[in-house]
Amino acid sequence: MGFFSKTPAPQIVRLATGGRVNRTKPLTFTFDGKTCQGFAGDTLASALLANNIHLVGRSFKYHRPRGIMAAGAEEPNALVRVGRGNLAEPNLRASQVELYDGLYAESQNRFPSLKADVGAVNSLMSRFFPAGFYYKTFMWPASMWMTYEHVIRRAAGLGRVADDHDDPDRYEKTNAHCDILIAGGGAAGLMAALAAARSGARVILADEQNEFGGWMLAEGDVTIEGGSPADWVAGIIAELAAMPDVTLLPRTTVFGYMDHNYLTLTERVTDHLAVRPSHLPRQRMWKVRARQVVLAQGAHERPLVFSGNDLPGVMLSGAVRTFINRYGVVPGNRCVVFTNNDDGYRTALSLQQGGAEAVIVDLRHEVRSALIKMAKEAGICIMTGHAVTIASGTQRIARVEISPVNEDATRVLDDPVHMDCDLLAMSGGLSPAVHLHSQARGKLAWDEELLCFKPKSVHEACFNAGACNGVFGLAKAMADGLKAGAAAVRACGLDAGDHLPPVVTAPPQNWRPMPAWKIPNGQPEGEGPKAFVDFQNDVTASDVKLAVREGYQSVEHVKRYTTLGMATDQGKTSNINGLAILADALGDEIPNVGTTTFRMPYTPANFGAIAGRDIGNLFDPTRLTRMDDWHRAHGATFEHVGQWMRAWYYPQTGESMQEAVNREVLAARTTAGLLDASTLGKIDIQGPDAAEFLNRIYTNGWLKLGIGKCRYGLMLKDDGMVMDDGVTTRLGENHFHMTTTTGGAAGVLDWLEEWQQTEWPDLKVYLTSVTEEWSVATLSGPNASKILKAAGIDISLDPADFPFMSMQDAHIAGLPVRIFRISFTGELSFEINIRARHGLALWQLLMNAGRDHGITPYGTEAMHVLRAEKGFIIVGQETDGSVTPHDLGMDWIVSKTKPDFIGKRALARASMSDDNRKQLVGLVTRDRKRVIPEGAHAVLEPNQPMPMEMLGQVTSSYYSPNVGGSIAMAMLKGGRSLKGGTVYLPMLDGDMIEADVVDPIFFDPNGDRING
Amino acid sequence: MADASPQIRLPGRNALSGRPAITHANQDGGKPGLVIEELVHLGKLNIRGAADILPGITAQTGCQSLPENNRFVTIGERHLAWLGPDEYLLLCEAGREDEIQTRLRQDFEGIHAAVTNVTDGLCALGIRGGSVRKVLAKGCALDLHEEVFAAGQCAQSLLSHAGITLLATGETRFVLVCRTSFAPYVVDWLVDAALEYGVSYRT
Repeated sequence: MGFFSKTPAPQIVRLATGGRVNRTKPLTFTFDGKTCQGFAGDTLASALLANNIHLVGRSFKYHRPRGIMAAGAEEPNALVRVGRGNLAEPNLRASQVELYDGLYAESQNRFPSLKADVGAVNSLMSRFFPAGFYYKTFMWPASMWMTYEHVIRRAAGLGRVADDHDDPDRYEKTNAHCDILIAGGGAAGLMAALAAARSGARVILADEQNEFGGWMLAEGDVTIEGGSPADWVAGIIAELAAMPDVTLLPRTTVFGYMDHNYLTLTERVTDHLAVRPSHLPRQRMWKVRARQVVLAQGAHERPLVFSGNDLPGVMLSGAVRTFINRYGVVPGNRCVVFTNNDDGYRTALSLQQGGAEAVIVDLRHEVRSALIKMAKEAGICIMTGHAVTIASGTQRIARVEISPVNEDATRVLDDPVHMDCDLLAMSGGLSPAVHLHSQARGKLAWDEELLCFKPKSVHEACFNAGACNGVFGLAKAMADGLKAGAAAVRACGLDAGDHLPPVVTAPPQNWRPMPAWKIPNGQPEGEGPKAFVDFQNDVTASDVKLAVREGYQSVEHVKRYTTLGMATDQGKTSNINGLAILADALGDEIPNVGTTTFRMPYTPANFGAIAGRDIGNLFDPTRLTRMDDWHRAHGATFEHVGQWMRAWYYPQTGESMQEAVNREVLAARTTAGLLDASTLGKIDIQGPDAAEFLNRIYTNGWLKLGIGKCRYGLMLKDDGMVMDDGVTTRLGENHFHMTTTTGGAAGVLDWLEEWQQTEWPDLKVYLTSVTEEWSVATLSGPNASKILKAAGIDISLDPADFPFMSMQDAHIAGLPVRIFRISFTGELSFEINIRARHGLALWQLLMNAGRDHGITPYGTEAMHVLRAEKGFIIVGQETDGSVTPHDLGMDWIVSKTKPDFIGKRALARASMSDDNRKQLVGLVTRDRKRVIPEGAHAVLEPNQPMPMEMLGQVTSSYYSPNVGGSIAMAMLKGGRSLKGGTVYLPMLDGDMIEADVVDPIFFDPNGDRING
Repeated sequence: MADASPQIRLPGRNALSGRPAITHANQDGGKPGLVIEELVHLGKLNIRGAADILPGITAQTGCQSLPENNRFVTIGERHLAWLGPDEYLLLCEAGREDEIQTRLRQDFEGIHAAVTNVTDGLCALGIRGGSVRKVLAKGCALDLHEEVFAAGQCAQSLLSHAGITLLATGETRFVLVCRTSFAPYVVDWLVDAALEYGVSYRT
């Protein structure tokens, strides 16, 4: 049979005219070290094909040679690594990488080179790598799994991430709102956008390609309004671009569709530029909230599952047409078009017009279509009722076997004929891209005629249009897009107007494919060359059938067992073929088998864009006090307390941390210490019911607190567990100033607001955060009064005039201050509050005034030691949300007489007074120099076998220079009954620390020092 | 110990005192898309209360009515912004906040209301420029379209990780209020987000 001419014409790869490439702008790029030429408007895929490069990668499992199969997002094979060094990005689909001058790309998953890949030995061993081979082979012996896994993951895998993980590119995020978001700017999407925009709606139109137009740009045989589709698209885009409320986003993939019409998009802002301006992000993630959504994502063509269908040079029919008509690249000279529907005929005609020879192998026995007539008239050889049973070649397709098959293409009827070729275009029908629809929980229905799943009902406020709605063909898709756009407009409450779709001419095409899911090869089941279903994961038809034989039934299980539909392409080309083969093996119908769950992202989304600018100093706010400049200038080290940075300790030259802390702790008890306490939470409480409100919030009584007096309070959650503590002061009859812990400030205010608004709305009380209104310097120690006097305070500090637990307004050097005589150290102590603008000035004044009185700035570490010496708890350190006041030995603060307070009922539960609850105790080590590590567990009997019976844990532990030894606080089961006894603290290194259980107070137990 | 920081001036420091000005040019050659300044001339009072606070508000601020939900009213240099059903933020002349607070408290005698001076706890920034809404959109999830968030409207929201109150004072200008300790982060964030449009932070 003379299908092709005897002597092939010299191949013209790049056509002299036509397509969307700019032949006046040649670009140079590098692929696997080879310098190549392309044009502006090319993708890497079209440019590679223009250089007659078909072999572009090695497959996942068997390292089989693979080529470019598709022209868009569905490409499973041609995954490349683009860029160098830490700019490199792996797993990009060559069909989506826009060419730019200097582009540097490498193939993946090959060693040492693409053409001589040693991993290809896997292919020879393939009978040992069946479906589920991970699970079967390498789980035994379990101890070797780590080794196996390392080797397997290296051999079988996709691309390599950049060597240096510090990504130097800039990424951004932005929020956007619109009336109507349209995903996809092809025929349907453009019509929807037009309908939406003309109504005055706020519109975002996103398309993943560099130009709007979709498949329209790939067809050479259609006209719109009498002209080329590209001209029509240009006119529409110009109209849309002129509208202020229309946002056009080319190079933008809608990759996620979440609840409440919240969608995420990735815009590739500068990926296509040879020189990327540093002020622009490389990519930008859009977070869009849309009132209505129109999904116009189009459809993906399916491959045919025949032996050898994964060879380079085997491409999707529509992709071949795209390369010819959009990029002016004819990817082969002698082409077999293998089809089960009309689409192949258009491709054959395009090939012929591009100067190539084409033969059509049609699975259908009877074809009634205008297209077959056109092909015949063009002189193209057509073999109906035939199949390509086997394709062969080494690194590119070289030969096919074509056999006659029975009516339903399940059986080979006769010996094959052999045909040499360098390209095979296959068409297995279209699968609507229902990904976003399904992500948004839309339902699908199986279309028996078009043999595809298409949207049945939507869950969100959205409309499907065009090919992704199962409406194929240019004119119909445009009408459907217009309809969806108008419906979205009306759903927004706007006037949709009356628009007509443009006049279109296109070859009449029958879109119904013939069901033929696995093409027979004339050999028994499972024999002969492999027929791939999932090209990206090397899953064959036999693998799917094997999974069924091994008992798998659920499509989700089969996916995980065989890896069908996994990895970066998520089965865009493979899912339906896989489902159909699975259904056949199960003896069930395709709709009963169902699909796997569609999850975001539609195509891989870059983590950089998801992170955006939430990196470095913008990762999280750092809050500094108004005195921070001083701390920094004086060599403080800092620690994070929530978002705050607090001065930790102030080492002097040559001092270790322990030495610095010892010095600060000693000074606070011998001369004076100064602490920046500005970060404490402060809440201004006003209203006639303020005292009653506090009475319910705190465990102790507040109604009788005198004006100007301070009181310590403990607040519980409603489960009776300690939540926060602090000193609150009555500023006036109906006015209080509450302090909270630094870390608890925001949570406490929320807690108070919640109770006020939801439980006690009758209480007249208003709460306002004043944390940052005040800067606070805490002056502590025997010299505190002297220093304040030296600083020029204008009130008497005599304890008789200014007693402990009271507040006074005063001036220091003329600056108004509010002084609380409260103490977290047990020393004479003044918490001096000042308007924040003067915070630094206050600190400087006190430091200057204290120069001759031994004033020593101390940080949070010394503060911790000082309070531990006195046995004062820190909420969050001694407590962990499971500790009651009773556990802390603080029954004295829990009112027995108040009618109620938050947590009261919970405290009455019997288990709360269980003697074996963990209780706060002090620990002093026998070796007084030995400091127990915080978190250490205590046991009673040191020689018991493991696992040892734990008593509890050490919550605070320090060296105390004032005590002259180690001190610790611990929460131990039945702790108070252990006092006077000994516990042991086993260390990880086998050492055992011995400690005596004591009252949790180590210094000045009678509180004699509080007045200086 | 001597002062180590020469920028420290007595008696008072603003939220962003000592912070250097910064400019990134607009790459298109035009004006910067965003200009940021700390509005040091504004005092701030948080006012709580129901409708019966209006006479006091009118007497002390000149405001004839309480602002409606998510709106603010402007009287001369003063803005009174709605923060919640019974919560307002008064931006007034700095230096007069104590006096206004005292007078309001007198006027509110006998009714349930609260006035709290938050001048130092909050930082007000003036942000303006042709790209101001685009810059804000990068970190704020609100719909900032000029017809949706029009001049005269205000809202509390997040700008990236910082809580903010936004007052739209014009099509291309806003007053942004945040807690003082978040102000350096907010300015850093704004300067970074406006890089593509050109930005000037002025002191």
